[in-house]
Amino acid sequence: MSDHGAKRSSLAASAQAMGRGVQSLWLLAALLVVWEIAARLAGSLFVPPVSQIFVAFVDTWLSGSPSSLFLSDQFRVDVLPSLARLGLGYGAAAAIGISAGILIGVWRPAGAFFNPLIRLGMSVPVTALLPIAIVLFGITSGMNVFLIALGCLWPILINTYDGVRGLDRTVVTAARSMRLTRRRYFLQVLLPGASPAIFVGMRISIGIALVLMVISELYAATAGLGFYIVSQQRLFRFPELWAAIVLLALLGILFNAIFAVVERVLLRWHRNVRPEGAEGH
Amino acid sequence: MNPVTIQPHQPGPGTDTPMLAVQELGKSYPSRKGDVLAVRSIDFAVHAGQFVSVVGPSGCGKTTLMMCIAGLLPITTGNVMFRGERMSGPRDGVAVVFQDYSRSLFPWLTVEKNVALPLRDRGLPRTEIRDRVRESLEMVGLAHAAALHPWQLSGGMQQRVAIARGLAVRPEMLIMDEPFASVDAQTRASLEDLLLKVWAETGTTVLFVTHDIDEAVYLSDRVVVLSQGPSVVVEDLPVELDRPRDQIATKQTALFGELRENVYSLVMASQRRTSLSGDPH
Ligand SMILES: Nc1ncnc2c1ncn2[C@@H]1O[C@H](COP(=O)(O)OP(=O)(O)OP(=O)(O)O)[C@@H](O)[C@H]1O
Ligand SMILES: [Mg+2]
Repeated sequence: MSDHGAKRSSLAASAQAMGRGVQSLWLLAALLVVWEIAARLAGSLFVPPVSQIFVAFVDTWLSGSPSSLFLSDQFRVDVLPSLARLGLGYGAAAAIGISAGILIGVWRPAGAFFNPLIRLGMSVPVTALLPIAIVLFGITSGMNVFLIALGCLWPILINTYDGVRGLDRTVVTAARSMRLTRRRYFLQVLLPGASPAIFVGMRISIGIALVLMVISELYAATAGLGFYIVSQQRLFRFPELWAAIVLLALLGILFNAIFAVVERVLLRWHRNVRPEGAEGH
Repeated sequence: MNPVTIQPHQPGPGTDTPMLAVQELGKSYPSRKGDVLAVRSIDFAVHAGQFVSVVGPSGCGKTTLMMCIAGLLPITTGNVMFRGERMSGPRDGVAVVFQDYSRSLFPWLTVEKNVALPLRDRGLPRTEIRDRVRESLEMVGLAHAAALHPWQLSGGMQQRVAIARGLAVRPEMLIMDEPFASVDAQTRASLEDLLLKVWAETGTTVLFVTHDIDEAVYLSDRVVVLSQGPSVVVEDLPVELDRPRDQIATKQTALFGELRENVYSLVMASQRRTSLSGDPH
């Protein structure tokens, strides 16, 4: 009974979401048309019409052979290094942030000890550390990775810590009364219980990672999307510059979509538990 | 080495060693303004196979007492003896059903996995675990819900899952803290009868905490009446109603009415006493 209800309502919800999606697509289409017309009328070098940007986008990124999924050489030269840095930095931040967050969450003295340090680390704008990172690492991929990792670390760390500390006391007591092994407690109680908070941290961080990737490459890189953007600016190739920005936006959308799917699958229970007591009516 | 002494056969209901002996148990919570006494001094014993209820007014320290007995809270004074051994923490053979059932079940696990959790890592073969889970779910009439998640069930069904989880370990003693406090009257009556049925089938000793006097008298072999907090035992009352009991017939007997009145006046008297002798704040 209740299962059917849940299915029906989730179906209705996705239909609604799709409706909203179509509506906002209309808005987007209208905006693009306005842009096209305004840009043509103004004839500005810096803001080319959408159609030119589109052509530049296809030429720059999607002119490859079918065997390479249509991705161009330019894509391999600039986008892949960027993605590699993003993946490395973000991955390192997640690995360190989650383990350290769990450690200090479980072990109270460590939590009290490291708390001020974490607050401090969180409140330093990572971009301000760019000059130091350049001095330390030189103009290398290591520098970009370091900066991305550092920026992503804090949200993941602090959210994991909060998630572990915020575990429901009844849940913890019930687990204790069952005398689970440490391993089982960790895998089936602590980690799933903290996972919604960990997930929030990861989601915040992916946005930060994208920003830091571009910024660090704008200033210091020999390849990458950020580097490509600056070089196009210097060459006054503005359609190409805009096409790179569009690619960045698409990457952001892609990452968000991945997160939405993962959340739907892994945290289904969490979405269903939240409306407490309001269920089943 | 000394020759291994063979333990005498486990004491049954007839022998002197009770299954559970609570001796001068006192518990205070530390707080900024000094210790807060929640339980003053409690003495009672439960013999194997008995169904014993503990009643007392809200806030008198029932949950505290139950957590101390289950080894989930350190006790301040006195002893809890289980089969003649001092209890120093949670132990196998004692299962707990919590007051807040909706939070003591793990929402990220299916009903089946919730019930199986306390059986894991105990050297039981997979098939044995599966059979026991099935058996205990059948006992509470929820075999069909095995694959659902707790949040897909009604409150009464969730409580039955919590009971099944307690039964799955085949406990010597089942401790229940106001398990039916937050379900409606009809569900409550049917859960009470379900519990009596399971108790008769399994022979498990039950320690049942409640603030509902009717419920305590209806279910139990004995009712232990607590005073207002910090609690002491006011009376330890045998209930000699015939079994099997019936929600209507049993409650219409003269003896039921007498017992009920008796417990009621004991609880009221203890409240008056405390409010008269309590120091004015
Ligand atoms: N963790 C705690 N820290 C400090 N004081 C506590 C704590 N838990 C309970 N108390 C106090 O101990 C007393 C008894 O609480 P307890 O929860 O054991 O009562 P109860 O009889 O179970 O109440 P209810 O019938 O409402 O469930 C209360 O005065 C409460 O304020
Ligand atoms: Mg209570």
